[in-house]
Amino acid sequence: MPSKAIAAPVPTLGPPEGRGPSTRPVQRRTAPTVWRGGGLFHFSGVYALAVLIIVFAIVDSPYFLTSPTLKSILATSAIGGMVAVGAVVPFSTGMLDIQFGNVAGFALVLMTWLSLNSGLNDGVLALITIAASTAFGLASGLIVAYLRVSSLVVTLGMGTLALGCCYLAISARTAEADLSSWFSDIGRKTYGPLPLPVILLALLASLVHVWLEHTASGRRFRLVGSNPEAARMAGIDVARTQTIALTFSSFVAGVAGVIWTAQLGFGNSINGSNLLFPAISAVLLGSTQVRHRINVPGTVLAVLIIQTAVTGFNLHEGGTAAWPANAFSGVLLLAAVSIVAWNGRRQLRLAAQQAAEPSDAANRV
Amino acid sequence: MRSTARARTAGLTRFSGLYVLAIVVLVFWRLLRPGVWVSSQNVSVILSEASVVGLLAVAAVIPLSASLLDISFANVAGFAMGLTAYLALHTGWNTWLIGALAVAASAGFGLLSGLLVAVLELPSLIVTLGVSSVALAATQYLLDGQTLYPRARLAPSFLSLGTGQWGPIPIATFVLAGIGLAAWAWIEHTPSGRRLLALGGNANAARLAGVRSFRYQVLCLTLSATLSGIGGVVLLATIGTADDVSASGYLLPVIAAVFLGSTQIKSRFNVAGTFVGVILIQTGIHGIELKGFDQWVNYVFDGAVLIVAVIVSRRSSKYAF
Amino acid sequence: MSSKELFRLAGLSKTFGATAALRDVGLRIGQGEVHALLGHNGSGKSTLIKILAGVYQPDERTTAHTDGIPFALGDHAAAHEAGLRFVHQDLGLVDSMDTVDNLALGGHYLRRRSGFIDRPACTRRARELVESIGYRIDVTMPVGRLSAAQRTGVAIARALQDLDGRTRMLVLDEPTAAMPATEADRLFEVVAHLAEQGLGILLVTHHLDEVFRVADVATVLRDGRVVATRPVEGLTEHGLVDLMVGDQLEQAEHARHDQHALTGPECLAVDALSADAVYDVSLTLARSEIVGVAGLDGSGRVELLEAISGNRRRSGAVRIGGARVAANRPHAARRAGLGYVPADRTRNSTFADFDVTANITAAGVREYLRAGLLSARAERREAEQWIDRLGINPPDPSARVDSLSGGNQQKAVVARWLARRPAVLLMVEPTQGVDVAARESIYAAVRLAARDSGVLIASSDSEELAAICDRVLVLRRGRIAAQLRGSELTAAAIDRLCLSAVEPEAAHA
Repeated sequence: MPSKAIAAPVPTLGPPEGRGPSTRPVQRRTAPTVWRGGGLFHFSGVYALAVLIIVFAIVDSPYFLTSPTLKSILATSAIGGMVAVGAVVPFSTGMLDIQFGNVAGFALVLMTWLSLNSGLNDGVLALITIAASTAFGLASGLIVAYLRVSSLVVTLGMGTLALGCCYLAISARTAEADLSSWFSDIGRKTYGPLPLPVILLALLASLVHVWLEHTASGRRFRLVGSNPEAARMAGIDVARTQTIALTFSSFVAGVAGVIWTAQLGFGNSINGSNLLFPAISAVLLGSTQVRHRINVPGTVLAVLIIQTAVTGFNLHEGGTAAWPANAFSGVLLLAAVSIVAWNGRRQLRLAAQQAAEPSDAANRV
Repeated sequence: MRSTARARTAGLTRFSGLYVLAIVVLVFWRLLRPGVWVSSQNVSVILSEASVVGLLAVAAVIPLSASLLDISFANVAGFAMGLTAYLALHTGWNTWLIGALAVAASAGFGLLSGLLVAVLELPSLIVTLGVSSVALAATQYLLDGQTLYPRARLAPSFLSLGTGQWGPIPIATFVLAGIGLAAWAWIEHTPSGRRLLALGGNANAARLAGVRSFRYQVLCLTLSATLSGIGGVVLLATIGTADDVSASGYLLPVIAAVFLGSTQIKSRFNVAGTFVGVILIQTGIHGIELKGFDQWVNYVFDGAVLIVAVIVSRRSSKYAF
Repeated sequence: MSSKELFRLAGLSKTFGATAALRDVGLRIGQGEVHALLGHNGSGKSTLIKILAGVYQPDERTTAHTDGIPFALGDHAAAHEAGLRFVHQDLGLVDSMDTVDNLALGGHYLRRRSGFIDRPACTRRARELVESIGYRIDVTMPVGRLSAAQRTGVAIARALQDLDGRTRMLVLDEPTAAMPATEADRLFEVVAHLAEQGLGILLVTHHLDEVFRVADVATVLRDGRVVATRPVEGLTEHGLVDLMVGDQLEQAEHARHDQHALTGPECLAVDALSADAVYDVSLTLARSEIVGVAGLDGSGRVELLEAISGNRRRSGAVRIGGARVAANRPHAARRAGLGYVPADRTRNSTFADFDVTANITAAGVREYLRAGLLSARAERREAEQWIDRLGINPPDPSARVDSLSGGNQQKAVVARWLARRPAVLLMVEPTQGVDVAARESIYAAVRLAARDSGVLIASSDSEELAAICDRVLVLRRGRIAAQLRGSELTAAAIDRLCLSAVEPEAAHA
């Protein structure tokens, strides 16, 4: 979004100085970035969420605005939210990761199977599961980054491999996990209104957000996503970045799957696939919220919106059908990107109407 | 000089994927069923299963020829399948009429995708992802979590589409052959098909030369959804039941076939090459099923083949995604 | 060649904002005449072609004539109707398709009664078309695999295929810019062949040898005006160069470069480097030295720097501070202390989704960490410094970089590398798209950078090179043809050496 011009005069700077802390008072020239470009659209998601809550509060009363409902929304958001936040990292580097759903499902199944077939401590089993899950991401990352092939197709294949491993372990049945109580508590414990998985989600989201926005490596990842060629020329190791991104996403999927096991208490091969579409829709929908690019708070907001809509709807209809999640994710995604594109085109048209820069045209003729 | 040398290498790489997979498949078969090779019964079973994959693969390859990615084909097929079953069970209408309605509804999804891509210039991946979710939701809504068994309510003539045969060859294969031939003829041998390929090759140059990209974008996404709908209907006729997961299982073998096919016959996404890809993958899958391997081998094979296919195809040609 | 007039144009002017790109330009081309259009960067050559092609409109409604019939300039359809055909530098071919398809794309397909393409007939027709202009090409091979001259041939064939009746004029815009000499020869045989058939040809070129080889008349543009239109027969290369370059006195307002009496230790050594369009080039660069690389398009000027920086495959050795740098790995080169400001700014360099600050800090994000986190303050301070120093406009560190004009974007990219003070700084066309007033700030910044770095600048602007470089290497056809330094280092001398195979002193043959 083009910003407004600055009114303050430009101070003249002297000869190059060292990079020590500034002794001059810092002049706030512009408002903080997050508010730039006009608040209304960037936070439309918050308004949409508010509207949804009000609508369902009215329609579903007295059941909607209650603690169990809130907990249910949050609890169901937790796992999907975690994998979505994990997926934000490869998406930010410009790759498409569609394996995380099946990798989370794999972790769920593996943890379940291990609990039934191994006498080791649940904590150890969790670590094994997470390591195995991470391996999928590492493999995809290496293939995509160093063989320079399509991330969409490789993660599609790798995700299916992960699904195959699920079937190898427990084929098509549902297996009850044999978990120690402290492990199951991870899924069930609540602190006030917040289930532990939700707290973990909040923690993960904060960490990833801070990393992405405020660290040097996070910035480099985003630069790669913006223009891989320019990033390469600016000295960033693009291949390594891409590998790490996919590995991390699978790592998070593994962790989420382990927590999922604690939540559900059983494992099933098809659960993972159901995570995928809503989570990707959340990441893409989230890229229209808060900032007009892939970002963590937007993703979390999108997850909440979709889950609130689904829960409210299911409450109203009195059921737990599978379709509302897919319907809402699909429709909201299409609506959001369409609106952004429409606004974008309008702005492009306006910019084009203003005269082209004369000096550009005359130079280098 | 330079051009002939390059042509020779390209020819070699072009068929290398074919050779590798052919060898793998042959070895597999020899190991699994020594003595049994290709009998007419085997052929007809392979062809039957391959027909749905083939239909969906043709559906997918049309937008790919214009460098558009349509990943909604599987869920749109599932929708057509579910809608047909649902209408068959809940209304007394003629089965063929129902089938036609389902295909028309599928076309509607494609039209939506096409318009969003053409008018708003949205990336086709995101649009078809969203449409795919909506199609899946629609299927799940109709099916209400159950598997439908409409076989008794489907006209026998309709069912023969899936299970009938003319001689040793399933009718579904004839349908596939007809549609595949039409698609091939259109893309390779008509001016509009060539313009589609030009858009896929260099959209800017094509537009400058006067190709109306809007028209073509809408057209190929609508076509792909229509063919997916037909695929879904044929699938229903073949297996006689409808659920919300059968069709999504086709996403991967189809994409594998299409990518593998992009290295065969021509070094770009193309219909004839896709046919080769389908046959290779189906033979492999069938070999596995014959042996009685569990479901998991299928998935692992699918996943591994896809990854191998994309690595091989990338060596011969470059694509944006 | 008949002297019947084919094309006539008079009184064409075009201004962009405050700059007059063309002033009262007139042109006359006869039937069967090959007319060369010459002029330096900034002479107005491209603007003229773009107006003919209908991309720009002239200041006032101007009419041109073909065969005596008038048509309005600045309208693509009218130009097409009038029989003008263009082959631009970007040929507009679909590389994955063969010649038959590319020709048909611009025209139509021959079809059978059934509606399907009659492939054999189309192939035959394509072959005939291509042969009629003098080429022999495998028309079933994807165009991307043809040589540069053959591709240009296909583009010419496509441009000419649908003309009948009205006499035609073909405009070739720098067709040999990316072609080796042997292929250019073949192209000009074709051009001569076409001229014999009565076509009028307007050839825009930089290469003087081409003018003498194939052109009948030459028009020279300078500063937007036609300075001469003469039959080539009476011209000499030296004379042409004089017309193009003029008797320029060294302009006092160009800041003279500091004579660095003391230059530092050697920071860059290039040994027997060969790459696409570069043959066996060796050079050294010392710290505090500013060395220019000059040459025409296709001389290897740009390719050389791309190869050194690792963005182009190369053979040969590159050493920075004595240590060998791995080839073909741009980020390794960067780590070794090499900064690279490429020419194609938007595609290669700007991070369009980010603001000016992030674009400036992109090559060394780690420097702005405080306690493990990026300090917005530190980044902004860096950005403000360069915004001020280079005069980036609007002076807003949080403006999205793609909201800036092209020239300002370029400044931001230059700042990105200046901020890093690398051991070696490579710059390709550093002031491309930057207006004249702002160039001085970039030059000043480059001189500042040279205190700590060795700077190598590839530029097609000889005035720029003369103003800031200590010495300039002139490339021709991929090899170093000459080096200028000290008092011989003038813009005119650079131009002459780029254009001409003849040394200034040995001029008149």
